[in-house]
Amino acid sequence: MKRLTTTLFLLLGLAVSNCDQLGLNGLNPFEKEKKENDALALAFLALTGGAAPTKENFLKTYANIAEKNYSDAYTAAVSFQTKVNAFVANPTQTGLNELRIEWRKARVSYLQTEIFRFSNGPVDNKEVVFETISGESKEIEPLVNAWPLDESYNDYLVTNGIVSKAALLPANEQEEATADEPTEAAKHVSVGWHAIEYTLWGKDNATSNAVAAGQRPLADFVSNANFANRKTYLKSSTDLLVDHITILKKQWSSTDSNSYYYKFTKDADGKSLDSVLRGIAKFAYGEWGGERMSGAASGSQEEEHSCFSDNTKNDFYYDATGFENIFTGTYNGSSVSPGIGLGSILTSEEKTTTLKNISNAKLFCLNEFDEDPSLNQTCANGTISYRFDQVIVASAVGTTQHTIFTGTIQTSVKAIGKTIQAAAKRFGTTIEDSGLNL
Amino acid sequence: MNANQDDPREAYSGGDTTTFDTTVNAFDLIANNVDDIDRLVRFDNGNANFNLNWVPVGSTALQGLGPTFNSTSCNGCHVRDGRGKPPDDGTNLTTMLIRIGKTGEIHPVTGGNVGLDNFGTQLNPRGIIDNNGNTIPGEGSVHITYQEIVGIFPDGETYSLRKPTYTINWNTTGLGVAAPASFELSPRTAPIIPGLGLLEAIPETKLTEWADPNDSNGDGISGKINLVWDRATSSAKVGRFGWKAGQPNLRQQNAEAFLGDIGLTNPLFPTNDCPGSQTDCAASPALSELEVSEVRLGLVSFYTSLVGVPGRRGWKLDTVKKGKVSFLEIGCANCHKPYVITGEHTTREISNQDIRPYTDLLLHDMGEGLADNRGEFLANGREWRTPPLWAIGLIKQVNQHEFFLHDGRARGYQEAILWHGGEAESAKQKFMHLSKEDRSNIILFLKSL
Repeated sequence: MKRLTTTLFLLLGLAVSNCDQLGLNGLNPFEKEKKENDALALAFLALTGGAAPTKENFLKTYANIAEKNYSDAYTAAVSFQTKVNAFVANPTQTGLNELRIEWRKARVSYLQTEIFRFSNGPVDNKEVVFETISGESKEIEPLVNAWPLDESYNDYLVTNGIVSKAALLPANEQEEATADEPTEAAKHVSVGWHAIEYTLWGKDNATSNAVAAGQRPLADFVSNANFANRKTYLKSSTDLLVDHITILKKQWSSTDSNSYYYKFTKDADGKSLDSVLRGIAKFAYGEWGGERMSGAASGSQEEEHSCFSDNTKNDFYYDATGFENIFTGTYNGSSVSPGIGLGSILTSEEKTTTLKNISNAKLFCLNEFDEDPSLNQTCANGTISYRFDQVIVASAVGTTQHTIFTGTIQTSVKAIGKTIQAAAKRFGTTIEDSGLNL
Repeated sequence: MNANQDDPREAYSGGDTTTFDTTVNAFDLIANNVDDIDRLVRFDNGNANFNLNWVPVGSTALQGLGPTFNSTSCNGCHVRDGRGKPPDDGTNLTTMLIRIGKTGEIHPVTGGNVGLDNFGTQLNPRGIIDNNGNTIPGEGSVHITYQEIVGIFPDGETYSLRKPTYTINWNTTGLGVAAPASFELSPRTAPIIPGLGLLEAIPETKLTEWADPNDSNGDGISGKINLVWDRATSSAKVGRFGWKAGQPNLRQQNAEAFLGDIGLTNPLFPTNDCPGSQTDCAASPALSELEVSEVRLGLVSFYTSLVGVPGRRGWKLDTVKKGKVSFLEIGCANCHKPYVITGEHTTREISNQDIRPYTDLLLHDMGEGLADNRGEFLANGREWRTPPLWAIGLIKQVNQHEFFLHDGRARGYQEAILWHGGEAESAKQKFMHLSKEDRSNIILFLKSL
């Protein structure tokens, strides 16, 4: 990792002016003051001998990380697809185990890309993507990572032979929120990582002593009712997953002058940084540190992001890694050109605080690889070493593990969102998304 | 009374809870006076539960949806914590529901409504595909038709109101039962979430002081307190929530919505709602524990009590000030009370707050035109609870519509006012006799709320 030393320290006082001219267009006692981005960035010039910590250099670094990350996510998905094809041709217990391991491995790079969500980019802005599998412009994210899902619906699809690529896409009833209709996200999820997860693992029946992931039998692919449909379902949903990740990979390609990468780094409308900061704040506060962690407060054993595979600790860890990549300007531990992470354009205080929050957010011991225990980590003190569903079950409230999760990890992730939101004000961006009102 | 005595807090509709955000998130923000990080996280966790999409029993997580239901989440009806509306095409109600029951019958124990033998007290249009692969039939659908009623102001300007007619298509085939011979129905749109805790914190003594059931003061207004069944104590309590003030507190309001709207059993409603001959519904696998635990109900109740009320915009404009003066002069404020101080509440942020909700929480006869002819505890078929008007001006921003009144029949502020009858007839007549300019100032004032 490239070491960055910030030698300049600047405290910015945010001017608060009371506004007397109150028209119908808004009354806000806390008028925000805009600051010139570049002047500010230069004020924090880190004397690293590398690139200047400018907005432009940060955006380039961000885009280059996205390119590498989506490329890896694509490679991993294709590798998973290869194993799926082999398994469908010849289902064995060894093959099913390998598939489960491969699914977990493929999640590593995809999860890191989640930091690009909510940022008006290809993953969840359908205005960006003009090329889709179905021929219509759709939001990609609900087709790739929707959760939680209504399992009985997935069983219904298999039972009724609604398993071809062409049939599964419209069956993913992920209505997007429109101006006047509610979104019913995660009701009928026919495709994506979690639909595949359910196909591989099956239900993880919540009983207080079941310290295991879902145990779908091989017979479901060999002899049990509708086994042929289930195999087709596995193959179709995997093929669609690869198709959709391919779209994302292409959109973040630096070699395609029509890609989003090109538009983003050119930044003709000057909104790229705004989108990035808004997305990170919203993802950290509302999704990663919000919806996905709220299960711990409800005491519901299986209210977790990857509930069939018990992969949730990995989900959280690699979401944190994804943010760390952007923050430090690195990917897989190496600096990414031009090497200016988000931390380089923040105050040294914000940087120090956030680095601490990142390390808190990663306090997970990754030891739920049931299929290959050799992959399990040895757990350090102060990390979440229990299975995640045992950490959030109602009876765990008050235990050390539960307290680490809710008191350190969740609050740190939320604090990341808050810090980015506060920093964004200096760049002229007011993030007032739900739950992010400072 | 001077309407604009330059109250320095005029803009702070929710007292110290007031938020100032005019985006689509205006109804989805934590009260401004919550500063404890633990309470902030608790609020967020409650919010997450409000947004959760439930799935049927037999699933791995978040089980319990249905067997029959209206929506899969709270947010499904209260979109962005905002207001529901009738469907554009007259079918498929998404953010609105229909209460039903046996005509005029009163429950011997609770004093509340009596459900139809095979359909209960609320029409659940949807059913789950359950654990055994059975598709549970919904109870039916509703078709709304409107008839235009044209009218004229004394100054010659014309207007048109739309009068709805509701036709229920009972799912007799799917359920294998006959349609009810007679029934009562009441359409209800989802109200906004901000400020509910503050309404709960208005002292009961204040409601008693405002109430005038026999119109002793002869002003034509006879506000009445509804006394409703409190399930936690099995006794009658003052009603505050719902279009007819049929719920005594926020916890029970939320609990009933969990069961009635999403089909989730909970501490106050521990049994699935499968009325009469709905055998598929009753046979659908159930969870051994409550689908919404005490913890979860507590989180959602905490959340819904602490959504901040949006502050006023443009309250210093002359036109808006004049509008407020007219609003008071013609008598709107006799029921839409502009100011009250809350009492002590277990949630500290909503205790002792000076608030401007524009409601008295009392029941009033609103005339035949608005009547649903379905009583609810002490409320008769012509009576409705005064709805709060705070934040009404932001509904357009949050939900992109301006359909008002209990069933969203009014297409904007003026139509909503013109539907007022009964005790509000005199205020409405005075509104009609105002000049065009004064009428539009009143509407500007409402938009500033």
